[in-house]
Amino acid sequence: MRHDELSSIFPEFLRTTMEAWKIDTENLQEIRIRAERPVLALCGNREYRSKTAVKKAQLQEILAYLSGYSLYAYEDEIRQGYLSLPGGHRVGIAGRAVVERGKIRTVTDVSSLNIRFAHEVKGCADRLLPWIRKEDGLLHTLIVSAPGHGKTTLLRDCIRQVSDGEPGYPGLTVGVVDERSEIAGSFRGVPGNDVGLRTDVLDGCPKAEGMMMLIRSMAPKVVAVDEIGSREDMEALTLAVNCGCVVVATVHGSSMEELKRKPVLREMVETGIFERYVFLKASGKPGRLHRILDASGRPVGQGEEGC
Amino acid sequence: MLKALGMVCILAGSTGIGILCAAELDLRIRELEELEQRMLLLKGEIRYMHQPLPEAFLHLSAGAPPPFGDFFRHMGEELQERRGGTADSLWKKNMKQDLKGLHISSQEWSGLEALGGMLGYLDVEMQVNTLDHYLEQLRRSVSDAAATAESRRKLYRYMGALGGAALAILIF
Repeated sequence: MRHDELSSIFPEFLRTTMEAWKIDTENLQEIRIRAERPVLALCGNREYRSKTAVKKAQLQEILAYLSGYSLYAYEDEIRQGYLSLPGGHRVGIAGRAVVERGKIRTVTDVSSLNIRFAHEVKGCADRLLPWIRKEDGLLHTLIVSAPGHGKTTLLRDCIRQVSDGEPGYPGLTVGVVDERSEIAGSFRGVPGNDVGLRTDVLDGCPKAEGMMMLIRSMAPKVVAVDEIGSREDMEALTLAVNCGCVVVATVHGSSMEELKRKPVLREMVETGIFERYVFLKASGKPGRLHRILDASGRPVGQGEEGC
Repeated sequence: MLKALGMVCILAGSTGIGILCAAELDLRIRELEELEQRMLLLKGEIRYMHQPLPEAFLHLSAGAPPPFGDFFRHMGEELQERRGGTADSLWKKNMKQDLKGLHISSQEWSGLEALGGMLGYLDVEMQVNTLDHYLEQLRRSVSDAAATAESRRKLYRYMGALGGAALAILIF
């Protein structure tokens, strides 16, 4: 992340704190701000701590600032516990949930913020693509890993390379449903990250509805979505496959066994929608490949070094 | 000859003042109506588009007559540039800078100032309710201003002319 981009996101108070740390903003992973606690930042796997604690009022001010003084515009996101920033960065929110008729209406009395920075790592899908490509296109692929292992980063580079194409593999039209603005990092509808020449992004749209909209309106060859998991997602994915689209998706998990323990995902595995399951491993770099399995769960690649 | 010229000047000046005062009554109505129009647009931007304030203000500035165009443009640009300060403080600062020439009462000025402190927080429903409440106040102001203008327009004009005539008679 560029320094000027960082400056434009944060209020003066945070900017000053970070300038005092003299950290390399390119490697900034996350910043955690908690009420009455010092600010903690993770940069290049090293933790930095501010000398002073953040007051609760300051926390509210930071949140208002991050939202461009328009918290109402992020009502739906806040209800789900996060806020999207320009550039695909995301702010996790914790506080007191206001529940109405059994559903979360909003989060108030915010006590913790976790700002996670999106990183565009071009080329990190180089080692994955040979395993998921076929002569006339791409295989239905599910990228699986625990949080923070670079699923979204890998998916983004996959989208870029598939969309741009390369000798022997012409570029394909890709439709991206970017519910949390993490893949394309869109700001006012325009992608901030390089997602390729032939990519259409539906920003801020629920995945299931978005996939249907894209298929109807943009006729993509490939549909890409992040963090699937609900029954609606599965139904939309199945429909996309039936419409002749190739689906590339990501999901939280660590093994095939874990996927099968989740009812919706088990159904997805059993119906054999996906032809490749790509498992990532923990590493300092995002998107390191651990195992690649085929539709029946047999390994097709193992111990591959990612980017 | 000089006396006659002086009398004409006094008469013309005082009549002009009367006409200007009457015109200000109409100007006040126009300004309040324009403000009402902009607030309705802001409500639409928030309710149907869920636009963040910087973008909503920039949209409002397009086509708005002065001084509202400048006010909303400055608000949008400054919030977008994130120069620091709260939305409330920027609202008050830009009100003083751009809207000080408005023909509104001190109560209406305070109402507009207070609105700035309530924008941006909570959810869409709350924002819409806040704007609805402010719009109600504005509509009352417009109707009061229209009633006042109706009764005072002629009075100001006649007072201007008659006051001038009386002054001229007294002096000469």
